[in-house]
Amino acid sequence: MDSFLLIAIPFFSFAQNEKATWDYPVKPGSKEWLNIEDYFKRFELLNIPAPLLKKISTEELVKSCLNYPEYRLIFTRNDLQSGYNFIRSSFNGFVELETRPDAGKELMKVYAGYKPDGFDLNLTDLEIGRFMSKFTFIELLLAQTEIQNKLNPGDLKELMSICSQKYKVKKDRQKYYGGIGLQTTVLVIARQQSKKLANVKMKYGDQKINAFVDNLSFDTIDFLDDIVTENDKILSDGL
Amino acid sequence: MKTNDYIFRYLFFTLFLILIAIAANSQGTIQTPMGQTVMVDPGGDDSYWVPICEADAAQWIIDNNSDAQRIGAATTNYNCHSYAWNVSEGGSSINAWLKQTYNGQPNLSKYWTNDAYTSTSNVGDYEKI
Repeated sequence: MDSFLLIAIPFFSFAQNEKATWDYPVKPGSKEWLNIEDYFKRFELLNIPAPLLKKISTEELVKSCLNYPEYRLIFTRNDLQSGYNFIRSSFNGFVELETRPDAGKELMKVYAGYKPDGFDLNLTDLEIGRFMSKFTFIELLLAQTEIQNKLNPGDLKELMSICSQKYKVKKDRQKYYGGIGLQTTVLVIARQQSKKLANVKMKYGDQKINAFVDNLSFDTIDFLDDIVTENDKILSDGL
Repeated sequence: MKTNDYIFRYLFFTLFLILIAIAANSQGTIQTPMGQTVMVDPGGDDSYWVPICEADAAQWIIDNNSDAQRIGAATTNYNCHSYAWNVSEGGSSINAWLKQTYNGQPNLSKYWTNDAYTSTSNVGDYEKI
């Protein structure tokens, strides 16, 4: 009997994790959505039910967060961090994700597969915008301090390197990405490296770096370039 | 009803006019009604983001059965703050991106700080957002 339990319990837990997914059964615009008069209460329909929230694997939770139907609202605040703060306050999946020790690692697995030049130049502007916004969403998550704090030094170094590579590919397509598309890649770097950016601090001052780290405020693309350049130096020097 | 109206206007302005502080090449100034100087920028080179913002705003209106109406094409020349406090009062809509703060200093709030407007927390009393 004891042997049976030892075998059965891990199998049961594994099976539970495999099955636990959340694909938002009630979507914005649906009848159930519109039946709720209070606009802000509608967001509760997107929340992951509490029992499922604890069972869902981090891999599946990352998928759910990246597919959050109201991600578009990040563009409705003064800056993208404020936008993220808003949707985080509305959706329990983001709050849960920030508590998971492996959130950063799972996000990195997905992010590594994103190719900034992976869109056809013949796509419509709208399709290109949709493609680029995928980076904005995942990079905003990777930039959250709660998520970065749970990555080990090796993973952080890898993340800094991946971001630098992706930034350079984005820069080759700056015409499309613009400041909006470039800023979140650099935010991931700046949130981690801000204390080490001696040259950037000397050139722009602490206030500019803090303003960027806090609310993505910046004046020129050169500022973003300089952060990436100094990040590369930090990585190559092994600091 | 007033609350719904407030929400719709608020979200309309925020969704329709892209609200991100982005790169600027040179700054300009505009004046509050009482003559305070407010900094504005040309806006950024982010034209490829306009269609997705317009599409998302249009879909948001459908999803929420909102009374919001599209009044014109979105642009990166000015943002929602600029529309509310500058453009709608007859100010220029060119090179008129109005950030909440500028170099870490208050910028937008000059309109209601020792000026022609006062701040209210009562949603029924608002005139501008």
